[in-house]
Amino acid sequence: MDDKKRTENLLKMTMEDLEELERYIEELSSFLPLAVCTINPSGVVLVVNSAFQNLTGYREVEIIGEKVDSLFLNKKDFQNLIESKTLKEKTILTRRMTLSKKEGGKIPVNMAISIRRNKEGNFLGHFIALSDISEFEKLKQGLEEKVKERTKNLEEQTQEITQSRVALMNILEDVEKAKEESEEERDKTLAIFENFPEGLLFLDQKNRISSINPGLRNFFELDPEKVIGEKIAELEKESPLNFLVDILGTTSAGAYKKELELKENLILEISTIPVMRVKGKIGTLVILRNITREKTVERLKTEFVSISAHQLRTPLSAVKWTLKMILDGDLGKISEEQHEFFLKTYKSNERMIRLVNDLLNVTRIEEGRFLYNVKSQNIIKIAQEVINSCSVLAKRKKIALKFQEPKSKIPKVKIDTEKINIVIQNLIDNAIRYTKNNGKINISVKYLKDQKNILVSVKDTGIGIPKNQEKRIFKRFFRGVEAIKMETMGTGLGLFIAKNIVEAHGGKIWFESVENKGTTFYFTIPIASATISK
Amino acid sequence: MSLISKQFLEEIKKMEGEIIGSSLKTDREFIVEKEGVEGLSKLEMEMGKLGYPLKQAEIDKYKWYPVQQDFLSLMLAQKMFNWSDKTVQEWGRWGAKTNFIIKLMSRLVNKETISKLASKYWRRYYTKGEIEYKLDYKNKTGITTIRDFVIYPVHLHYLEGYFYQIMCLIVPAKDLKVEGSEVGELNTHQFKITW
Repeated sequence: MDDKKRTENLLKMTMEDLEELERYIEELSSFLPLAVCTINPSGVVLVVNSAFQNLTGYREVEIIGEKVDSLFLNKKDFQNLIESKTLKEKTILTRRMTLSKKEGGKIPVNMAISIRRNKEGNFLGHFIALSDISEFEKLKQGLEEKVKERTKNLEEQTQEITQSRVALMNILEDVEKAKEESEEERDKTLAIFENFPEGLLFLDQKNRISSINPGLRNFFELDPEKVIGEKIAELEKESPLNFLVDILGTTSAGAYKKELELKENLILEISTIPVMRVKGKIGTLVILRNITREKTVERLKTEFVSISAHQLRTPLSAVKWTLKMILDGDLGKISEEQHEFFLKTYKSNERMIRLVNDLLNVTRIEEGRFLYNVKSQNIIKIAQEVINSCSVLAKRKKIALKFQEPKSKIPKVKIDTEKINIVIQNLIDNAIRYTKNNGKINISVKYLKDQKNILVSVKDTGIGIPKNQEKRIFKRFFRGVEAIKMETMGTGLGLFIAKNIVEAHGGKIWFESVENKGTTFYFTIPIASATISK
Repeated sequence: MSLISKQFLEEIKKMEGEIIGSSLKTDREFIVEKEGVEGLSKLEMEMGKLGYPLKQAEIDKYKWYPVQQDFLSLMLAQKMFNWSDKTVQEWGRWGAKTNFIIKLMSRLVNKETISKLASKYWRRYYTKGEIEYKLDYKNKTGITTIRDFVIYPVHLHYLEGYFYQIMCLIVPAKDLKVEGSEVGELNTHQFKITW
C-alpha cells in the first residue's frame, strides 16, 4: 500500500512537473520574437510559436500538419536546402526565402534551419526559424536605388562636366586663337600707329590723351609721360599741345579738319576722327599732318602764276588797245579782209586777257586775299547788269534770256560786287555757251526768308552735265568732253572761281542737271554774311 | 426536453475507463472556437443538468476523468450545435493538432515508429482499450484497430479526424482518407486508412 501511494505521489509530482514544463514552453513560445516551427522528416509542420503564426498569418490549427514548403514561394530551393549535405554537416544554415502569407502577401524572410535529432542521434526533422527582412530589404533596396540614382546622377554630372570641359577647352582654344589674332592685330595696329609718318594722338572717351606716336613726339619734342592721361581741356598753357584745347575743347569732337600754322615752318593739317565700335564711341583719333612743304610749293606756284599773269596782262592790254585803234580806223583805213584778220586777233587777245584775269583770280583765291570791297548791295541790280551785258550774245544765238525778279522786295546783302558779278557772269556765260540756238535761259533771284539766304539760279536748256563728270565740275581747269566739243574757248576756271567766291561769302553753290535737257545752277548768299574773308 | 434520453444516459454512465484532462480541455476549446464562449457555457450547463457539472476552468490537464465526460460532450455538442459528421472529424483533427501530449509525441513519429508509439500514446489518453497500427506503405493502405473500447458513432467520426491528422505526419495528405467502422467483435472498431 505504501508503495502504491509512493508511486501515485511520484506520478503526481511528475505530472505537475510536466504541466510546469508545458506552461514554460508556452510562455517561451509566446515571448520568443523569432518565428519558430518544427517539422518532421516529411516536412510537415508539428509545432509553431506565436511569432510564427503572426508572421505567416496562419493559426496553429491551420498550419500544423501542413507541408512547410507550401509557405515558401521557392519550394524547390527549400527542398534542396533540407536535403543538402551541407545542412547535415553544419549546425545551422541560413537562406533568404520568400514567404507566402495567408492573406496573399509575399515577404522576404531570412530562414535559419537546423536538424533535430533524438537522444540516440536519429534524425527527427528540422527546426526552422524565420525573421522578416522586408524592412531591411526595403531599406537595402532604397539604399541601392539611392546609390544607383546617385551613381546615375554622378555619371550624368561627370558626363556633363566632361562635355563642359570639352566645350570649355574648345572655347579656350577659340579664345586663345582669338587672343593671338587680337594680339597680332594689336601689334599690327601698334606698328602702324608707331610707324605712321604723321602725328597721331588717341583720346579716350573722357577726352584724355591715351597714346601718342613718335611722329607726334617729333613735331613737338614731347615727353609722353607728361601728357599721357592728361585731359585735353586741362592741358597747361605751356604745353606744346595746348593748341588742341581750342579745337577739341572740353567735349569730344566729331569729324573735323583744319589747317594750323603753329610756328614758322610748321603748318599742320589737323583731322579728328571719332573711333567707333559696336558699343559706341571709344575715343577720338587726332591726325596731325605736316603740310608745310605742300603749302610752300603751293605758295611758290601761286606766286609764279600771279607774277606771270601780271607780266602778261600789261603787254596784252597794249596789244588790245593797239588792235582796237586799228579796227576803229584810228590808224588809217583798212580793207575788209584786213579788218576780219585784225578782229580775229583782237578776239584771241580778249580770250588771253580773260584767261590771265581768271588765273589772277585763282591766285588771289589761293592766297586767301580775294575779297576786297565788301559792301551792302542789292543783288538784283548786279544780276540785271550782267544779264544786260550778256543779252547781245544771247540774241546772236537766238536764246531767250529771261530774268525773273522776286515779287517782293529783298534785303541787301554784304558782298564784293565785282566778285558776285563774276559769279553771275560765269554762270550766264556758261549757260549761253552750252545751250544750242533757240534755247531758253531763266535767271531768278529769291529771298529765302526762313533760311535767311538770297538764292540765285540760272536755268538753261543746254547740253547738260554727264553724271560721271558731276563731281569734277567745280575743279580747276576741268571741262566736260561735250563742253570742249561745243565751245573751245573756255578756260575751265570759271566754276572754280565762282565756287570760291560764293563760299568766301559764306554761301553754297550746286547744280541740278539732266543730260541733253539742261542744267540749273544755284548759289546762295546769306543775308548776314558773318565772315567774309579778305 | 433533454437532448439525451435517460436510457442512453444510463448506458453511458456504465462506460468504463478514464480520459486525460488535457484531452478534455482541448476538445472544449474547439467548442469555443466554433461556437464561442457562450456555446461552451451552454454545453457546460447542459452537462451539469445531466450530472456532469465540470467546468472548463476546473479541468486539470494531467488528471484523469471518467471517459463518459468526453463522450457525453461529443454527443451533446453535435446535437446542440447541429454539427455534421465532417465537423466532428474536424474536431478530431483539432484535438490531434493542439494537444500538448500529441505535440510531444509527434516529434518522434515517423513511418517506423508510429506503430509502437500509437499504443504507447493511447495509454497517455485513455486508461481503457488497446490500439493496433498496421500500415502497408507499398500499397498505401493501413488498418487501425481499437479493441475493448466503447465507441459511439460520434466518437467514431472524431477518431477518424484524429487518425487522419496523425497520418498527415507521415504520408501525403492529398489523397489521405480514414474511414472507421464497427467490426464483428465486441467493442472493436477498425479504421481503414488509404492515401
